[in-house]
Amino acid sequence: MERAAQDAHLMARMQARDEGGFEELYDRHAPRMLGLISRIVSSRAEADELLQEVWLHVWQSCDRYDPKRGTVAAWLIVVARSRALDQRRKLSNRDEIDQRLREQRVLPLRSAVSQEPESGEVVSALHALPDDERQVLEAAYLRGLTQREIAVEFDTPLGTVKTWMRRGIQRLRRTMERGELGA
Amino acid sequence: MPESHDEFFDLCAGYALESLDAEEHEQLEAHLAAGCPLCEAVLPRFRSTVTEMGAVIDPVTPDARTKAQILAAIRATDARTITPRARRAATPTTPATSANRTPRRWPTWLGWSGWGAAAIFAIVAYVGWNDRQQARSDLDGARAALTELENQVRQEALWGSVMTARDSEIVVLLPTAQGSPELHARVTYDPTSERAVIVFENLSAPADRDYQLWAIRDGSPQSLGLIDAVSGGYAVVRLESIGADEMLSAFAVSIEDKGGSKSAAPEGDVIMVGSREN
Repeated sequence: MERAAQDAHLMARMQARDEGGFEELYDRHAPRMLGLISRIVSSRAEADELLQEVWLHVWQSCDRYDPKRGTVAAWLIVVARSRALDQRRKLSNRDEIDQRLREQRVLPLRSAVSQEPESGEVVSALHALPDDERQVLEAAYLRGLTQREIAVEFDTPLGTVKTWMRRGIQRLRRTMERGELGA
Repeated sequence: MPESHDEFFDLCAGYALESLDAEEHEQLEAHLAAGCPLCEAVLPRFRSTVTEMGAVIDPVTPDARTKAQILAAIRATDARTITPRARRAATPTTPATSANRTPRRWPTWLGWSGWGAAAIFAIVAYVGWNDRQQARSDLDGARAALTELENQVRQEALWGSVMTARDSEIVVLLPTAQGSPELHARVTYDPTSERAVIVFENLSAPADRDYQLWAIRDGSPQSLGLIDAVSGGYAVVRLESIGADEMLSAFAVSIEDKGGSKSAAPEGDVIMVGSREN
């Protein structure tokens, strides 16, 4: 059974309130979710706490998961990222976090190719983008910056940032659809 | 306000990345609510691509404690699952399909009412907020319960170590002539930690009397407190810092008026005694 189908099976078990299904799904996806949350919020302790909230939310609202809107893995990542961004936008020390994340811009996302084929493909596609487009996507995705904030930080006209962002997404999608950059 | 579709597509990209400021977010939502097939076609593709970006994150392994706390939280909340479920059941929602989640459908059943859309948005936002508050509250409760359990486990381990310490001594308390023959108690005393655990059986004081525990040091009694027996006459007393090894010679139990002896020595009958030589 492929990974997405296994996830779907585990999701069905969780929706039937099977704690074992929940645990397996957690073991499979919590590391990546924690990796993402850790990049967005200020500390590991905060990330751990947020991860708990996210999974409690997942348990309580898993009946809202709609397979037509994407895979289980995608849904989990969306939930984790949304919660992390909400949290980060509430923080009073946002400047400090931004500074920390800016310092990480040298290599903001992983360059290593994952053991998961689909992951390696995305990594390759992302790194194949022009620098401007990739950096704009990373600033928005990982740091939750708005287009306007990115424009200020990059000292670039807002319209240019918007264009980079749109073109970056479109190029990323085309590259992945063509599958021309495999793992 | 955007004037071309390219500009709306720019907004769609920002929307998919949750990167629009509030004003532009509203502009795009209004545009979508008015019905725009082009943007409706583009937005899911942008969202899907953004979602794929999650795969580029380096995994970070959560520690086992995090998982344990989550499991404790879901067990704690499961008993109350009926409440949020019932609330959701009572909340007018549309089925979870991609078709009827698109903003374009809203005007159809809201009669093109912007106020209606705002009200629904407020309700959805409130329900979401309420769920988050409930989840946070549940999690806090579960964390507190887990901390309490961990403290209890630490305490049990601490007192368990008294029972298993290599130097621990056993002192058996036997009934005196004034005590009932069924009375029995066993002291486990660790001279190193100066802790003791005493297990009593068959205690049955009348309602107006109390059992009082004594340590005998250099021939003088020292009160260690009253003994609260549970149903069946069973009691466990845990004593911290009961004193240095060489000073302690015996344990005794007396039966006193309610509240215990008013003096530094037993006033009632001594009904059990056990010396360290036993």
